[in-house]
Amino acid sequence: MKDKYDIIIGLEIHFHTKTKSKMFCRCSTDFWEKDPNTLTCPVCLGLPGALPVANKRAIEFAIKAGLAFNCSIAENTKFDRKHYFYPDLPKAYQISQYDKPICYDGYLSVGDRKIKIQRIHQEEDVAKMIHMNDFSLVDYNKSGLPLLEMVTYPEIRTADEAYDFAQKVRSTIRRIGISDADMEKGQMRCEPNISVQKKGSWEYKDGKILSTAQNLKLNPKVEIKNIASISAIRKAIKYEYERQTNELENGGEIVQETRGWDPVNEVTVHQRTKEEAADYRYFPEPDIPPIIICRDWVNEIKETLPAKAEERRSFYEDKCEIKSKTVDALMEDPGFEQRFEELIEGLEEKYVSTAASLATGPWKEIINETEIDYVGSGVTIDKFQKIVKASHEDKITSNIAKELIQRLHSDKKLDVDEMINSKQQISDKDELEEIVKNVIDDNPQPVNDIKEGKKQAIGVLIGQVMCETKGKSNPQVVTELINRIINE
Amino acid sequence: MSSNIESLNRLTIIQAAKGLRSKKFTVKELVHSCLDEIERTDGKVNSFLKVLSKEDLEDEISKAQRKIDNDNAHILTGIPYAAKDLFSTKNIKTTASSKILEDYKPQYESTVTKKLKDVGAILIGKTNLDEFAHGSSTETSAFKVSRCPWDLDRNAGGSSGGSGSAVSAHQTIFAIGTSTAGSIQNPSSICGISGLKGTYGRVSRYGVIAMGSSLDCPGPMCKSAQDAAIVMEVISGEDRNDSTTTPKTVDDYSNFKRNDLNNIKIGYPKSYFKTDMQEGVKDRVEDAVKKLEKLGADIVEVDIMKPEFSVAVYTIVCRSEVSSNLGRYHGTRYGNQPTKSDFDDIFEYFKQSRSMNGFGLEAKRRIMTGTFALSSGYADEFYKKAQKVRTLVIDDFNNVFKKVDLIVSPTTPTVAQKIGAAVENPLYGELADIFACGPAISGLPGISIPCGFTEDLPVGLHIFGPHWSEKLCLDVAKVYQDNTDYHNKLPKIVTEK
Repeated sequence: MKDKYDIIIGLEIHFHTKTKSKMFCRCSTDFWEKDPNTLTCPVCLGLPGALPVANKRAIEFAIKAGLAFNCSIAENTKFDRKHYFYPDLPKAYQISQYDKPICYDGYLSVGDRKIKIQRIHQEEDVAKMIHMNDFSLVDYNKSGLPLLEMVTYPEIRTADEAYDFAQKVRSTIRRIGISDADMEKGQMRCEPNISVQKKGSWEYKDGKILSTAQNLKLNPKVEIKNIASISAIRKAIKYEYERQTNELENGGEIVQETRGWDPVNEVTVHQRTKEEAADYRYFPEPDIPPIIICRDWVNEIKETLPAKAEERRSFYEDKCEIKSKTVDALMEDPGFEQRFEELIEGLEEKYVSTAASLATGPWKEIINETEIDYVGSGVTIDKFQKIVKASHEDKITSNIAKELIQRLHSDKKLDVDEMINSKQQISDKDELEEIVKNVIDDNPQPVNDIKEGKKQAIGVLIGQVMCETKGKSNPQVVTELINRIINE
Repeated sequence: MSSNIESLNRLTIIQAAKGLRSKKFTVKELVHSCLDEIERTDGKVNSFLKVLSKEDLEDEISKAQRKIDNDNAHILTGIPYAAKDLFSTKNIKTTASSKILEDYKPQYESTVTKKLKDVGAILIGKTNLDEFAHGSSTETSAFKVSRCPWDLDRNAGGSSGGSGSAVSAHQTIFAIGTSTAGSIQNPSSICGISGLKGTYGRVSRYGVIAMGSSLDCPGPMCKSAQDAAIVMEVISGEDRNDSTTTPKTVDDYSNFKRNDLNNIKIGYPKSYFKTDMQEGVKDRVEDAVKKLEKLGADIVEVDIMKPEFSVAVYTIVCRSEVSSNLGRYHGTRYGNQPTKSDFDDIFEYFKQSRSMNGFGLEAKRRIMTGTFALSSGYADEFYKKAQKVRTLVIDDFNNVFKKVDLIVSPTTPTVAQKIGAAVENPLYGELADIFACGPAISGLPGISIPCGFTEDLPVGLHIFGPHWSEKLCLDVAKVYQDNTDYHNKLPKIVTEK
């Protein structure tokens, strides 16, 4: 069957941007776990006479998203009203964007394919509804949250590609700091449009899927909603591919419909049929004047964007020679990565690898263990760089470096220079030889073991030397000395 | 002084403020005088949907009096006023004259009423209007028809008809209304008072129940142009809650310096005067134009696009916006909700709540036509085309204003009409506003002032100008009023016992 059909996928991805106030009013956006209807005002309740005022920060975030996804940024943009009736929509229209989205014509590379993005536009979220047995409840806390909608062209060709695309979108918007994009909290939603066509029956032209023969009708697309995790995107698409191809193989017909993903049974279920295109009666929102986005502003925003992930990764791996696993650990959390970038600011490239090991190792560990976050940490840029340099130049052992980071993290008053000096690694062979000899004399058992070929017994001796020198001896020098003296 | 105290309600803002400061009477006496007059005449005039009681106002009255006594009062402190029932007033019922909002009490205050409150003006009541401001007669109101105080068998005009009749019948010192096409100027003309509509964006719409969002303009309705200037100065200005307001500085409207109209070029639009209208109206307005010339103005004939085009544009744009703005009254959150036994299914429920016990005929008609004009397949032909013609109308005015400073025309083609006339003509509203639609869709400011009588009913002169020319409109109106007496005439109902 796989050879017979192609799957064509387009994605619609919605995400909340993390502004302090809502899209068109001054209510807080911090709605998670708040009592229902406590973050509301005349505007987001849609009371008669209330008027929307656009949130400039939200528009800035939209531009940021556009730049990160290689979009053109509109010079003239506007809002439009999209009309439909539902109790979660208090004005009976949603303020959205119709023909002049803030961002258009972008792309995102997945593997070696460039997936074209048609547009990213700004809109407002609707309220939350809870359906009980014979009544429904509406919570307007979420009403009016800024929401960005990204629409791709139907260029995605496999479930894996859709999965990779969504994941990359999520990591990018987290990286540029405009959304936490937590799908389980509803901060990001992903709705695939899927159609299955017989191989050779279609071609892709100017963003559209067209039939190759006049009398050949293409199969309609099916939209899937209620996907609450990134991994469900792949599962839902795979399921839908199977379902649609089976249907066709059994002589059935695909209907244009919206289906919902059921994560428990891992199936899609029919929700509604689109009998005809809904008439949203779009028209320009008269309450908000058109917006001119000046290029200076776009350039300013461009400056604040972090480097693209690919560029950063190649800098770390190729220039700084950091292992890719360490780079993964560095880049998995954009907040952490951002702090790391601050920590290494001004540091010569040769030190960055050591810095990465210390940051992803002991420092990350201690941050996870304590309540203190990056910003509150006593590991300041200056102190961190001193430890990195000392460690890189073998002045202190990696164990000491770890200890210093741990102590500095929770005690801002510590003097890092003094600590490094007192923990200065002993690499001087003459100084160490005396200590090593004493340790060998005092521990005949491990010495015998080594002589009999149990090489790992050397660890006991090294440990003893470390103990004597309060961890300051250079382990390499100590190992050399032990081997030499025992073999003498 | 006692005989004067009985008719304090007849004072202008200037006179009342002066009397309060010279302790000729108190705020309480002034406010009560209006409330008593409402009690005496509103059964006949029907200006008010809600009147605040003397007890309701006690605190505000004493607060205003203290401010005056301590000499830190604004000229409007302690001055009673009435607001069209389209302005949201916190905890005071705001119905828009619709059954669907019959019991609606806003939880917030509109910017205009808040600004008036802040300077100490005292809201004494909410006035009647056409339902959701749809009309020019108040006959579409779900509750009552406001009467023209000059002839109680005739309607007061609209949609701010209640504000018009309240000022004309001296039930209040001043009132505020809103204009979408001509809803301030029309009842001002019909009732013989001075009503000013500002440039779109000059006065905040926040808290004003929306009719046509790209057209709505709140404004003062007063006993003289001078009073209108005082109120306009208070209610104008940028509002962070309304992004269509402008940061442009508000002119000092009430600082009048002119004694004549020398060096002012006033346009006489031939196409407007050629429009079908009542003979007496045309004559009075022509007289007024001559008077303006006599006072020094340079009258220049100008060609403007026929007003019929503007009426068509206005009808489509406004109704489209109406259909969108009224969508929220869909029967679940507002209106009378039928009990379970009254309906079988959800459609019956909506029908009961929204159609049978909610919107009136005119609102339904406008929702239907507006929805149609925005529908896919028709939007290009109607809504979009109307917006294009709107641009042409704006350009047309801009060209004329390169030659003249202001334009004059009749405010309405007729004087007050008999009650019932509006019901017979579904486009009554738009046709009564035939001269107002062009300036309205172009966002232009204008003032209607009384310019004489025909058949014992007042005729209105509309003076309008380019964007931000409120000051000049007021200046001209003031000079005209300094030299005429029409605005001081009283309808019989005010003086008869």
